[in-house]
Parts: sequence; structure tokens; C-alpha cells
Amino acid sequence: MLKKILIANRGEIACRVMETCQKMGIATVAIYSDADKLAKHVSMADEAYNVGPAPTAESYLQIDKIMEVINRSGADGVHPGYGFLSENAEFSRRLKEAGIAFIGPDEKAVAAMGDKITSKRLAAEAGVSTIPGFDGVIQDADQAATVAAEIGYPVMVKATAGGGGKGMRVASGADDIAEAFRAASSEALSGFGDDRVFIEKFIVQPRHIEIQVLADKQGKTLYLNERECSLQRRHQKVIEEAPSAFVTPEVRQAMGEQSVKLAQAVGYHSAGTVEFIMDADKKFYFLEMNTRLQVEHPVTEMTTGLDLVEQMIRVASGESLSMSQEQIGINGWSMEARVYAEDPARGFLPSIGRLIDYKEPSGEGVRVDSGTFEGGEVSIYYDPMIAKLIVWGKDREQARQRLMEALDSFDIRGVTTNLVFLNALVSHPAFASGDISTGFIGEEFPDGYSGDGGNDQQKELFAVIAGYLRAETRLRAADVHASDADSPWKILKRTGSAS
Amino acid sequence: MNSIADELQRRHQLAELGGGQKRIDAQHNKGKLTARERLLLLLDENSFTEFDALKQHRCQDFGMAGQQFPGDGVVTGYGHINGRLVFVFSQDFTVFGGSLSETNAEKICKVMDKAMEMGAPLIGLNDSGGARIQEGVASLGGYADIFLRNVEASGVIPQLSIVMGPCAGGAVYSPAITDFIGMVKDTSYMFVTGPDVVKTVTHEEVTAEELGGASTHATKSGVCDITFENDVEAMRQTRRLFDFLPLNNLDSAPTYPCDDPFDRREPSLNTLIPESDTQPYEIRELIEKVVDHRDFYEIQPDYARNILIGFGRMEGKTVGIVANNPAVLAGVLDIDSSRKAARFIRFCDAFNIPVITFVDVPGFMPGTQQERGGIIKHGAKLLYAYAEATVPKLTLITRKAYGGAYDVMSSKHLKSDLNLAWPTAEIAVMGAKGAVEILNRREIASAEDPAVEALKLETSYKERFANPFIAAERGYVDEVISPDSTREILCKSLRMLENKSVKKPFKKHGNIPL
Amino acid sequence: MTKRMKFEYFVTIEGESFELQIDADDQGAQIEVNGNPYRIEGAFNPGAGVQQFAVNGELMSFRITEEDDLLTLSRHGREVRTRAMHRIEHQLQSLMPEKIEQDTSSMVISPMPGKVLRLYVKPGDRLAAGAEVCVLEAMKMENVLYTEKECTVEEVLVAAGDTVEADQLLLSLNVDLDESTDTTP
Repeated sequence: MLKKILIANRGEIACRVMETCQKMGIATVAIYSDADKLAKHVSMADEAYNVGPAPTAESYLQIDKIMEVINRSGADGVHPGYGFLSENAEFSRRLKEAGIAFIGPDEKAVAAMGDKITSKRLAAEAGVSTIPGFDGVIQDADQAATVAAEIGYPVMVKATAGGGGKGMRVASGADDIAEAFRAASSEALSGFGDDRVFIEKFIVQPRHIEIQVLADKQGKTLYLNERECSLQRRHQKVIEEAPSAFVTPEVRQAMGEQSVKLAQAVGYHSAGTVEFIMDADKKFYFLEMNTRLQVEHPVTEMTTGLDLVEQMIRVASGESLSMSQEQIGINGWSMEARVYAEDPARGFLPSIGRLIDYKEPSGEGVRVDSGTFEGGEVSIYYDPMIAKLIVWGKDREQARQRLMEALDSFDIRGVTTNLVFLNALVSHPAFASGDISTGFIGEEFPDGYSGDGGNDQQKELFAVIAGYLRAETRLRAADVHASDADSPWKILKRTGSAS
Repeated sequence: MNSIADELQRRHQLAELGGGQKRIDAQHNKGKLTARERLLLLLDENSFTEFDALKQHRCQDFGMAGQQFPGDGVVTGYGHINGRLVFVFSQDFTVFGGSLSETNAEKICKVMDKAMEMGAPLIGLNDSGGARIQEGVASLGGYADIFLRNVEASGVIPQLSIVMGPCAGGAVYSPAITDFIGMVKDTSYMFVTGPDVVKTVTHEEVTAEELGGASTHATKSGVCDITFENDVEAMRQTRRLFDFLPLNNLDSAPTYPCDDPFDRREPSLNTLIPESDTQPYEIRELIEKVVDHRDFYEIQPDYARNILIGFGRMEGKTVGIVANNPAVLAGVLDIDSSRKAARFIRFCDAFNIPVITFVDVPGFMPGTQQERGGIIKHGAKLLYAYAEATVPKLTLITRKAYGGAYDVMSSKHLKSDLNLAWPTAEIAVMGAKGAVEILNRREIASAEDPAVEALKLETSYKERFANPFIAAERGYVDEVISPDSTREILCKSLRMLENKSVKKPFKKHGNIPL
Repeated sequence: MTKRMKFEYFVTIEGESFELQIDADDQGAQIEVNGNPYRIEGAFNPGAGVQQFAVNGELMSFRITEEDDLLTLSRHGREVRTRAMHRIEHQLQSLMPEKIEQDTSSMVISPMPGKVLRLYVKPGDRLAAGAEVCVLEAMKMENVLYTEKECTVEEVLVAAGDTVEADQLLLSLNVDLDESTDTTP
């Protein structure tokens, strides 16, 4: 087992990894930039080393400096968290040369999955379903019809030079394809001066579903079921959950088995995620594989009971996975909301500043992964994510209710946050019924969100609370009284002691 | 008998109506409430008792004999605010424009005299066109009678003036003497001479609002202590302010219900002071995290913002807070901020309200504007106010306490009862850069690289002086405390100082450098 | 000592008025509005940003922001500004003029004499409200100046390194942006 782990990261994920290390009795080493001297991950670690100025390129991404800290601290393993150096082949190689365990997959797997074309080819070879399409340029309407029939309707005819929705046409059946081809081509010609088009499968109401895989170095590969991350804003995940309300056991098994095949095909070990896009017919298509711990990994932990960081450390230490695929179940439901310092009323502009108040919610089934504290700073140098709020419930509705309550009791003042916006999403009827797609936020909240009073019943409740607070304030004020039992004014004035 | 009862009822009804429905409507159309409506909002329900409702003027000139309104343009009496006694007068603009007559002044003087006998505060609601010209010198005499009583009452009972309409000419001097002036935005103004006179004499074109509106006095002149959006808010906020104040100078400040623990820790204060000493921070955060329930009633929030003053409570008891504000002009002391704080400290001292001072001050503001403006005497006011005050005085140095400003800001030497410092405190004659430029001028000049040498010397000066220890070694600082424990230590100290007594030499009064 | 009082309050939310009959003590209150009864329980902790009350037996959290007599409440993704008044206040409030916010936001003015240390913007830049515009140094302290409103920079009248007087105009801004994105009701 590893003895001392350096966490090559900051913020909540660094703290998250350290928590598991502490639980396992493994010493921790933090690295920090000048801006992070007082950060939570620094105070949590057994040892901490400065690796340079605030900008990440001069500190957290400095492989040389980190190697030096590894040397000085005597760490025998490195957990990269996510982002930063987590999928950096050079870093993996340098660690390997130095004989330090990288808590993550082999660099070859990282390299293979890091390239879009290679990964898609490998996936297809491993029998993973990929988005059907025809790579070549479509010459005429007849060819378009042939290709479309092969791919299966609906299809999208897209200008090769396209962008911004121009030169794009959907054909839902053989009747439309000729017109779609003609319209897309002519629009492409007038819009971009280039009438070349290609055809790919059109995904109706796409949902983002991903499979967590876990593999050891002995060749055992498991899938820990799916997470749904369809609520996205400009390709940034906002709310994640496990399992997905949309996925059936059969689909889950198919996705899981394909993901395992892909992992095995690249000799994967440690934790990884295979991302899919799924259409309204529950057909799923490979997007990419992330060869690291994901931001949203806690929802899988909450429903499987596994500590993914612990499993990664065990695998990196050479242990084999102790559980079998049959033992992986789904216990209840979990959701995660990413709490950001940003202003939904102003185009989600990042909000910088001091966390004058910061009190995390607590309660049954509530977990908060954070890397900050009251009095901490949201700085311009790093990601403005303040915390991840994770809840567990026995079913989806209980989890959702708990998330709504927890979001309301998260007390953050000093910076503007997306807390109210997150709750507007979670309490939205469409989300409640599970009827969501990756386009949901863009369609429902095109101009961001600034809050309103809702229906009459909701407003009445607010009125009741406002009235209650005023009444209680007035009650307190009614209790204001002289500090002295008998006024010295009376005593002194009447006796003439004070003139 | 019946006829007398009927007549009484008729007269009361007339008094209730002031200048009549038409004038009441006109008042409303201006966005203003009537004298009686204001009192309804200011005082507890059904608590107002009126004096002199039937009083009438005695003027015979200019056809005044036939124009009588019971009450004569001012409503006076007493009532309660959250159960505590207060005397009030409320000028009625609907009657002769609220102008001050001899009888009108008598009514005001009567409640002032009563307030002084009972040891209860006085609140005046001002909405008056000025002197009643028809009465001539009798009206002027009335003003002076009020001024005299304002002065006599000063330091005996709290006096609040809320300006809710015009207040011009000599009339301004009654509010000016009182402890706090509140003004309603857009509907009130105060000036000694109005825009017309200004134009005639100085040829300046200026509107009443620009000359003496609430925002002018709240931001530029400092005459106004609190501004309100409208009449309703004005009365609500005045009630809030009243709850902080003792009834008179022999009573202690009132106790307010509090369930905020005295030993509440605030670990976030440990990171309040930024790493770089040139970086500003919000001193308001410290104030709000130290007082009960974050309830801080700021006075003059928009004037001389480099210093903050206001009321809070510790364990339910009122305290006055003075704090340099590093976020504005680095918290420097200048003419305006010195005057602002000095007057507030003297109010607290007069009314047994302990003063807590938070210090982060880089010094006095340099410049011709300041020197010609008399910073010497104005700065001395602040020094005088602190030195003279006998109420419990607590001082906490959060960061800089440089030079003469260190002495002035409630230092140990001015008999502050407890002087605390955070570990980030720097008590020194001046900042490192300035000090090194003077102390090491030659070394720097003769160095191979003067800039490098200066920086080196600055660093060593900082190491030696940019800390609270030298002052602590001398006892100028009683204790260096952890920021998170600030509230607990201040609360404990206030308990200890509860019965503080001080002997002062006999004097008629001091001679504060006015 | 348990005090108990009855109140008749009017709460306005988004222009709508709710009439409340309240019977309160320091433990909670019985409230009736539109014929609907509410039982509220839970200690009131003035100044707390989040408070939890039992409303008809159900625990609910509310986010609370107080500024003067306006109370902003938020729950479950809804957010409202409320004002609670007693009957007389409510009646008289209707006589109060609607105030249009004064606009002083189109200029960035030096609050003091000092030196422009850094300038973050150039003409044409579109800025959010509260964006940092420049840093002034005075008394060896850095003071950041911010925008009051969303705006575009019209003219920059100073350069980094310039010495400026108090009340000097540093930048002029255009705040008259098209209101198409304004979502306030």
C-alpha cells in the first residue's frame, strides 16, 4: 500500500482525495500557489509545499516543481484529481521514470483516449456504438437518400463549413431528404461560399449519460452503472444524478458491457468514465472516454457505497478489486449540484470576492465536497466552483426534495452564487418528471435567471414568512427596556444630587 | 352643558383636520404625510396624548384675526416608542405653511420643558415654511426660545430632528443643535438662505434640492445624519434609531432582547486582513460580525466615508462604534472624518454609551486643501472628544496605526480602558517606505542600486516595526488577540467596565477647538 | 417572559398585496391569509442568512436578505422582495411617490487625489455592473473603482500613471444599453 500521497491539485478535489487518504492512514502532501497559502487543502494536508505564483501555468502545471516536491517530501504516489495534470501524458511518464505511482490509468490509455479520432476508432473496433455518419461529401440528392437510409432516420444534413445553425437541415424520413439536401447546400453556398455537405445521425432530445468504469491491473474491469448529466449550460455540467431516470436495466447492461470492452481494449486500469449521448429511443452513442476521476463521481459513490478514490489508490498500489460485477448494485438515488460563484442574472458572469459567510448545509443524506471556508476567497485565478452539493435519497423524489432543501439552507454571502438558479432547475416540473435533455437550460433559461415569486400559493407562503419575521421583530422590540431597575434620573433629580 | 361638549367636539374635529381637506390633499400630492399621520407612524398604536390641541394664535395684524385653526400649525404631546416615553412635536404644513408663530413656539417649548423634567427624549418633525411673517418679532422670539431649550437639553436628553419638508432660515438652527438630523429624500430641504437670495447676492443659479436637499446634506455638508426614501420609511427608521438611545444622561442605554452568544467565534475574521498591506478590505464586515445579530445602525453613511460611525449592541446593550474604513481613502483622517467622529463620540459620552474604536489608519491627509481648511483644529476635535470621554472606551487595532493618528484614535495615552491589537497590527510612526526614506536617506543614496537597498531596508523596518509587539511590550496595547475571539473579549471587557467611574476636575466646560 | 401580540400586516410581493392576521409569541405564530391558516414555528434569529421554520409542521428553509425595510426571501428557486407593513403604514404607503432611481452611474469619478495605477478598460468595452475599472493609488493604498451598472465604456480620459484630482472625471460610460435583456417584472 502507498504510504504518502501527493495531491497535484487544489480546491475541493484535493480535499476530497485527502479525506480518503486520512481514512486509509496514508500521509498527504499538498502543493499550493501563492494565492492558496491559506487554502483548505493546505491546512488539511500533513505537509504542504509552495510551487509558485497564482497563475496555474506557473504553479499547479509546473511538472518540474512538482517532481521536486515529490522528491523532497518522499511521496510514493500522486493523485492528480481532475483537470490540471490529470490527463497529461508527460507527467505520467515522468512519474513512471521516477518510480512514483500515478493514481490513474496507464499513460498509453490516456494517450489513446485523449485523441478524438483514435478513441472513436478504438471504440468502434471494441464494439461500442458510435454516432452513425458518412464522412465523405455528399454529391447529390440520390446519394443523400442512400446514405440517410443506411444511417437511419432522422438524419442531419450539415454544411462542412457550417456553424451557428446555418446550413443545417433535419430530415425525418425519406420524403424530406431531397429537400433537406437542397436547402442545406444552397444555404451553405450563400452563407459560406461553399456548398459541400455531409450527413450524420440526428439525435432527438439528446441526453448525456455516462458509465463509470473501474479496473485493476490484474485485468478485472467493472462498470459502476450510469450517471446522467443532461443539465448542462454551454457544455458545462450543472446538475448530475445517478442512476438515470431514463435508462432501463437492459440499456444499462448494454452500456456497461460496451464500456468494459472499451476499457479492456486499451488496457485500462483505475477509474474512468465512458460518455455517451442518448436519443429519445434510448439509442446511445459513444462520445469520449475520460481517463480520470470525474467532478460528478460522488453520485456514483452515494449509490454504490464505494469510495472511488480509495479504489483508485488500491489499484495503484497493485491490489486487485475485491468485488464482482454482480455485487455492484444501485442503492437509492443521488444528485449533485455544482455551486458556482457566478451571477445567473448577468449572463453567469463570474463573481469574485471574499466569502463573508459560508455555511454548508447538513442533514440526512447531505454531503458537501468543498475546498473553501468562511472568510476564504474566490479568486480570479481559478475555477469559480465553490462547492459540490451532493444528496442521497431512497428514491429520486426524496433525493430531489433533499437537494432543494439543502440548496436553500446553503448560506453563502459575499459573492453572488447560482444557488437560486440551481434550485429553479431542480424544482422545475420537467426535471421533477425526468423529462430533460442537454438543451433544457438553453431553452428554458435563454437569458439566465433572476428569480420571481412563482404562483399565488408560493407567493402566499413568502407573504406569510415576511409577516412572521416582521411580527417577531416587533415582538423583540416591544421588549426593549431600561437597563436600570430604577432610573437614576428619578433618584438623583428628586434628591437634588444632580442638578 | 351640552353646548360646551358639542363645542369641544367641534374644536377637536377642526384641530384634527389642520388646514383642511384641500390642504391635506395638497400635502399628499407632494408625496408628504400630514403632521398627525406622521405621529401615527412614529408612535406606538394609541399611545399619543396631545397637548394644546385647541391653542390659537393671538395675531391681529394683516387680517390674521379671522383666520384661526385650533392647534395653530403644530401638533405636540407625548407617546411611546416600543413602550418607552418620548415627547414630540410635529409641524403642520397645512396650517399657514407650518409657519412658526408665538403660540406655536410656546407649544413646542412646553413639550421641551416637559421632556427635560421627565428625562425623556424629544423628537421634532420639521415641515415649516419659516417664521410667521405676520407676527414679526414675536415669531423670531419664538425661535430663540426653542434654540435656548435645545441648548439646555443638549447632553441631558437625546434630541432628534426629522426634516420632512422645508426648514429654512433661522429655523435650521433648532435641528442643527439637536443630536441627529434625519432628512427625507426629494421632499425636504434645509438652508440658511434660499436659492432666490443666493441668486441675488452671489449670482449662483442653484435649485433648492442642490442647495439643501437630503443628498446634499448627507454627502457634502454632513449636516444630515440619516436619509430616508419617504415619510413612511422615515418614521420606521426613526423608531429603530430610538431603540438604541437611553432616555436621558443619567440612565443607561436600554437593553434589547439578545440571544446572540457573547462568545460567538468568527474564524473568518482571521482572514479579514489582506496579505498585502496596500489592499483595502471592508471594515463593515468586522463590525457586523462583532455586534449582536449583525444589527449596525450607521450614522452619516454617505459622508466622510473614510470613517464609519454608528450604533450596535453587545449583549443587548447599546455601543457606539467608530471605525477607520480602509476601503475609502485608505481610512485616512481628514477634516470631515475628524468632525464626523468627534461629534459622535461626544454624543456617546454624554449618554453613557460605551465607545468601541476599530483602528486602521495610515495617518492624517496631507495637502494644502486640508491645511488651509484647518485640519489642525478639526483633527484636535477628535483627539479632544476621545480624551474627554469618560464612558468605557475599547480600542482594537486591526492593521495600521501610524503616527499622530495612532495617538488620536483612542490610544492608551488618551485613557482608553482597553487597547487590543490583532496580530496584523502595525503600530509605528509611519509606514516602512516613508520611514526608510527619512531614516536611511544617505545609505540609499550611496548604494549601488538605491531601489534594491531601499527595498531591503523597508523589509527590515517592517520586520522590526510592522507588528504589535513593541507597543505591547510598553503596555500601550493591553493584549494581542486572535481575531476570531474579538466579540468575546469585547463583551467580557464591557461587563468589566460596567461600573466604570472617573473623577474629573471641576470645570464649567472645556474649550473644545471648535 | 413570553410576550404575545396580535398583528394585522399587509405584505406586498410583486405589486400584489396580502392581508395577514397574525397571533405571535416568541415561539411561533398563527397566521391567516386569504382564509388559509398557517402555523409557523421556529426561533427567529435576526441577521442569519438562512433560517428554518416549521410551516404547518413541515420544515422549510428560507434564504433571507434584509435591507432597510425590504426583505428578500428565496426558496425552491423562487425569489421575491417583500415589504410587510401594518394597516396604517400600508394605507399611507400608497401616498408615497414612486421613486425613479437617480442615475449617477454613467461616470467614473476620482473619489480623491491620487495616481492612476492600473486601467482595466478601453473605449467600447462592455462591462457588467460591479466590474473593476481602474485602480487608484492614494496614501500608498490601492483603491479599486467599479462600475455601478452594466455599461459600455465611452471615453477613457486618463492613462495609467496620471495624477488625478478629487472629483475628476476619469471615464464616461454609456449605460443606455438596449433593455431587451432586462427581465425585471
